[in-house]
Amino acid sequence: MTGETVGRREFLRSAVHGCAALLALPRAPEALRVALVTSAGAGAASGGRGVTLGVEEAARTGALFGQRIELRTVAAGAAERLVRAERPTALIGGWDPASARALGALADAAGVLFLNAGSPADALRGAECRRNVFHVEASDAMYRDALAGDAGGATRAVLWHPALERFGAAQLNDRFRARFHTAMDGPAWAGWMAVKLLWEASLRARTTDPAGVRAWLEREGTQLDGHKGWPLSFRAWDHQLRQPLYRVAPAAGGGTRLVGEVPTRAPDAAGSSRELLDRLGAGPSTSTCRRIHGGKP
Amino acid sequence: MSGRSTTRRAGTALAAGALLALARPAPAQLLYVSNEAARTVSVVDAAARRVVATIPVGVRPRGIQLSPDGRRVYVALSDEHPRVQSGRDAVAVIDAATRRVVARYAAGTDPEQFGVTPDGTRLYASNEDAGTASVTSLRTGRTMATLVVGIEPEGVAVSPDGRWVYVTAETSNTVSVIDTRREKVAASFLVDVRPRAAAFAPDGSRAYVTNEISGTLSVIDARRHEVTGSVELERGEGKPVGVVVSPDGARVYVANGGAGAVSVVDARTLRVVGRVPVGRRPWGIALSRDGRWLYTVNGLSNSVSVVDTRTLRVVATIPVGARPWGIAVGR
Repeated sequence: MTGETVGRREFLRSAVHGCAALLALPRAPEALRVALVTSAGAGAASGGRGVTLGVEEAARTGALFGQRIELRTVAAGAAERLVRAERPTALIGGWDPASARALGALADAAGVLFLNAGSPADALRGAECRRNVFHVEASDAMYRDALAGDAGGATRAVLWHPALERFGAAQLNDRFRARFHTAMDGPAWAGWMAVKLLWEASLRARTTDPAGVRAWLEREGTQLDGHKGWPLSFRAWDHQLRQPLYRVAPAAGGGTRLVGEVPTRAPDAAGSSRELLDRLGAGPSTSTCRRIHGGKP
Repeated sequence: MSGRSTTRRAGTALAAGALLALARPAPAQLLYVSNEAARTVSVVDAAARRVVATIPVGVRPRGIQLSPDGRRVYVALSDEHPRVQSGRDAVAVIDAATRRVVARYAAGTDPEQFGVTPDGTRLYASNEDAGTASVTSLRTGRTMATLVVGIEPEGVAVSPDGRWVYVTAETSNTVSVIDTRREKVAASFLVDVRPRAAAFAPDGSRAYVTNEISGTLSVIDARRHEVTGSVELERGEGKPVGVVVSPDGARVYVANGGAGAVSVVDARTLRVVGRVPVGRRPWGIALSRDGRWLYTVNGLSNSVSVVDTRTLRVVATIPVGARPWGIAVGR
């Protein structure tokens, strides 16, 4: 948070904490509070399951460190009331474009974070981008780029696939299936990943303050693991998670089968992980986002 | 690979190994390599640089270690159902002299890697899908304790004095520190992203942990259980897994599975001082007792690379079974 003006709210809170310290009041470590915001949208139910698994796993890790995580679940219409009453660190949702837009506005206004796990709308990363919004779901532009050169039309690009195996993907797919008796899909992965990255930011930055978590997520060296085999991070120019996507085709018995991963080649001297992943979606020069500076002037 | 061809090759190798043994008075240094897909353990004569025996183990073998007296080889076995503990999830005990499986000990579900205490009495195994570490008595074969560690536990390392056991966890990016006097998790700390293997320096002052997705080596003060540094390997893109420290503690060797190369790290300066290209997807790594020879297990080349640590060059490539995973060096 260096180089940032301390907001009045933050100032007041630190003043309160300062008094508590002076009076030597015992204070339990503050829990990381996240709110799952339900709404319409095809991925809502699945995404909710991903968030649930993410919170359960975070609680397990938290037990090792004496840290807690709390989950609230609210409908989109009740999100504002919850934010005012409890000021969670982050909201997770955006299963339809309208709720994603509204939650982004709420997050910026209330000084909390919004993790968009459901809407791929390019506009949310472009002209409508926001400082407190981070996109775990890939953008429409990324999905389009992942299919570039595919003339067939039957191939689709997805965020996650239950047949992925390497780099802990099989284990994650197994844990999800054991917990919910259904396969992990894209929205489920996004919900799980949103909690995992918030939790990791909170543990590593030692804060549950939204601005502190945001600063860690925006940091240049931050690396996240989503069991995709690539170091993931948020793009400074639009807060989009840089990540690989998977090409799938219709399977004979219904459902889809994995066809391949994009980027298709491994990093080497000619291209780092980051450079290869940034070939998907809007780059720093093509992005129309003007409200995020990612620490850059 | 069919059972018949394995037997024939092993037979030929055995005969050749016997001839070489006759020609040399010193007992051969043996390497034990677990072959995940072949479901076997290859016994390699390190000097003759060939497989001298192939031991079938029935199911998927991964972690492999020797007992401190060198008389037994322990191999972690998993069945195809990671969430269910079956009779086939076990640590197999191979008699080094007869090269037969003589016992199977329970070690929780889906045991992957493990460490043996220096006194040879206990074995600590990571149970990948249960998120636990199991403590098995090597006297009775019974499970003595099951401890909750991080999520998707993997690497296990026992400190040289036997007091601490480090267990890495790939999903939670943590290392849990087991106090072996109390059989409890005494501390946990975060390392870089997707920690895989851990190794202690011979004097116990330090430990090293590889981080596969970050492409780094975490350096840990093993008396305080705190990360003191992180060394980037292969520009962060090498997917490091196996790690071993030289007997004098001066060098750390890391097998970069993605890069197909070993990074040589100077333990004092924490700089990478050498790079040795080996086979494809090296994960397992081990040193000869004297530190002269370095062995990598190349999972996608079905081979073991032998590196001369003086010249940092590969001097031999030994074919082993299908998808080799781990390696233990005989006494």
